[in-house]
Amino acid sequence: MECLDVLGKCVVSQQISSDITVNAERSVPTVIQITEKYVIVAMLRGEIHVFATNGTAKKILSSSEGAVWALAAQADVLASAGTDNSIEIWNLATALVLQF
Amino acid sequence: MILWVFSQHQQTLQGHTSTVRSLAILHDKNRLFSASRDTKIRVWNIAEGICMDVIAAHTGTVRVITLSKAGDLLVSGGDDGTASIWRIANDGLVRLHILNHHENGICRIAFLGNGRSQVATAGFDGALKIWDVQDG
Repeated sequence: MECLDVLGKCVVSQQISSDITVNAERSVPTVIQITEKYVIVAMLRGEIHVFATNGTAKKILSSSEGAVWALAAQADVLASAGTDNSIEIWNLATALVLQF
Repeated sequence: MILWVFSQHQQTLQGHTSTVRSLAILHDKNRLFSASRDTKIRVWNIAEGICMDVIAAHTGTVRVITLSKAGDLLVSGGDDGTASIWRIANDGLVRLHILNHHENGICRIAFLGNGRSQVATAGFDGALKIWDVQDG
């Protein structure tokens, strides 16, 4: 994922798919949602990558089975849904820090 | 870079019987709208985790829903080629207009500018149509 400023210069670049050659069709981003605090990218394989807008932090939400086709975010609340019919509600402020 | 992984999500809302294609959150009202291939729009109270309304919105997949900036209107677009404009009521949706001039499904919808008076719909028929909300 790349984040461009208004002049089109890339200010942040993040790798979000590491296994493209292994599982190309499921490594495709499906939805992107941008709020004041977060840039959120959902993937066809079901995981959701959450970046802070300053580019310093990244969170991965292990979503449900199947593709994520829809996102909506408001403040720290994120809703995600897709092919498994259910909607998941996440609190983006209560992340667990697992590794640095 | 700090890598965070969520151990679990807060809650799961279940009710749709097929793929959910679009979501919209209404700011400061704990309200979530979901659009599905099951042809329905559901209205949820996020705080309580309950479904407040189920609306038979289209005759095919409801592919996209979009809220007006003021949060008083919702527009839905479907594979049936129609878009509907809904007034957001306290416990559900009230259909105001059906916009029916696309020859194929509608895939994107946007309110123009910051207002609620014009809506643009884009369809798989390759057309972009702009609608006056008041006139429908």
